[in-house]
Amino acid sequence: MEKLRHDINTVFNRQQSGLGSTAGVSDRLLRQALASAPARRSFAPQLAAALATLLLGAALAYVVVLTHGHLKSQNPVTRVTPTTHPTASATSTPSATALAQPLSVPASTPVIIYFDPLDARQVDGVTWDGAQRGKLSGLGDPSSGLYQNPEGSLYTTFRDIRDRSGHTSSINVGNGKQFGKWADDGQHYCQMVSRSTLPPAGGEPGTLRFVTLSGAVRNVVQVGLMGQQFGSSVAACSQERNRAVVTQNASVGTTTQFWVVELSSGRILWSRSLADSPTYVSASRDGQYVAIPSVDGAMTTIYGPTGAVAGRVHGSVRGFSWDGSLVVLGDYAGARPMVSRWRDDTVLWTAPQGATYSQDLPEPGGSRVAVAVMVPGHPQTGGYPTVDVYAVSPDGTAVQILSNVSL
Amino acid sequence: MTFPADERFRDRAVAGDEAAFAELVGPLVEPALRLAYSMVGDRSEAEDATQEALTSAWRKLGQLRPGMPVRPWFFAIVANRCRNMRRTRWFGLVRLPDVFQQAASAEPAVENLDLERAMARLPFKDRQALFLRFYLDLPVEEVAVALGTSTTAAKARIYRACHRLRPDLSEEDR
Repeated sequence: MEKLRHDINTVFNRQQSGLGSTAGVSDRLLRQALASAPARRSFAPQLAAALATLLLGAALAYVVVLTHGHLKSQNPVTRVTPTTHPTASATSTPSATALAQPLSVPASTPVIIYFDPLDARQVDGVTWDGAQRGKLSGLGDPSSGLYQNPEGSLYTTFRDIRDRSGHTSSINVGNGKQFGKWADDGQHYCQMVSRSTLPPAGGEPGTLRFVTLSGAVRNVVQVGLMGQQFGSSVAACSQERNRAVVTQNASVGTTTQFWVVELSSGRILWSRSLADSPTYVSASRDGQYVAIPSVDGAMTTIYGPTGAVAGRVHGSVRGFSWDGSLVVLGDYAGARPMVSRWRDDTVLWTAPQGATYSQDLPEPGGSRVAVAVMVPGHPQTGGYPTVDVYAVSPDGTAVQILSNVSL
Repeated sequence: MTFPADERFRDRAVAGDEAAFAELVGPLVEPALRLAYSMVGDRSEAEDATQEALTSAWRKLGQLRPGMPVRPWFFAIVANRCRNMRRTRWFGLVRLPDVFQQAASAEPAVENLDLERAMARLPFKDRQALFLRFYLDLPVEEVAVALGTSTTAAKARIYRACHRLRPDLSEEDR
């Protein structure tokens, strides 16, 4: 049978050679298909939005009646609801029009890069305090999204890597399947590759490699498997700490195993199999801490540099602050995102009611963590979710630095 | 055997997140294009079928039940689009064996000439089953979903096709 299978595939190969190059065709077809399809949302959010509109209308009508009836005879009373910890606060007014001025901050000032809310072809940047924002000159092909390095000094469009001026610094030397993970120095990235552009269904060995922006590639270690509907990915890549965290992911995105690797030698420092209870694993940017939520997401165990348990925190950890002391909690099931100090399991900040987790980003070299949340008031209208972004400090204060943007 | 679908991306895609949809089906587009090309034999038509299948998948994503595998579901949509194109468009004028004779970038080895002719004579669904099983390396269970048949029927179809190509295959090769 194996001989016949080989011969059949030889015939199919010859037939498929008539197809020619398929480079870039996937992205193009996806773009064209989605451009020709109407925006679609699930029934539940539509129903919720409709109900919310009805309730809001009723509430407004009620307020109007009360205002007309009582405003002149009563002083308004502000009712304050006590909170046990700080909640979202906004001190910066997000722009309502497409930005016209260029971002004018030193190259060393960290920024967060995003798509302009009113012009998806324009890439903007904002400082971590929300005080300065402006457009970036370069564009590239944003159809696959943007993925910035920690400082926001470079970003990849998944085909090439650009600086804030739009100059191409490097090309993505990957196999076209995934970029990988920026290293914490912002000048390297870790990437998982395998022999085949299209790995077989059963998978083939993956290789962790360390790439410099000059294009120099160093294979670190063969680890994990790459398959059509599953694969290995990089959860942390640290030049500073000389380590990376590689996760083996099932097709549902959960991690079934992970390895903490010494980058210089390829040595496996420690690893753990989660085959019995696959879950979403995250790591601090330096690979010192690995967070393993329970399957139900109620608790997360945090492991330290040697693999020993360092602490436990309520909720499902999605990311860490730069120094690893804070964690971002959230899930895709609708829980309100929070920021906690994991060593004593103290919630420092909770996102506004109705917000759900989208992304998080640690402030490079700083103590804040940015949390991007999706909110019902900003429904998605384009190819990427629209989010509000809060910069949360260790004391629990938060500044909303972006509103209704795509990252 | 069960097929875990990518629930995280699926849920977000169902909610209208196009990026999640791209994550979900992006890796499947190229093999889908190859499947379409194997069925229609023309690149532009194969791209049309794949693009239409993507649009259809985007619209029908809510029908993808939790736990249902994405890959064979999507390939089934692609195959249906190709079959519809063959039925409704100028493909009615194209003889299926032509599809196999269009690729001429490499001359077949002499020993494969007979096999190539034999494959061209296979019933369409048999050839499709072989392509899914051998070329795209899908497990039989996913071939069955893509073909819209039971696993047993898919397995029987693959074996029958192989037996037609190599009558001396033994029962143990099943």
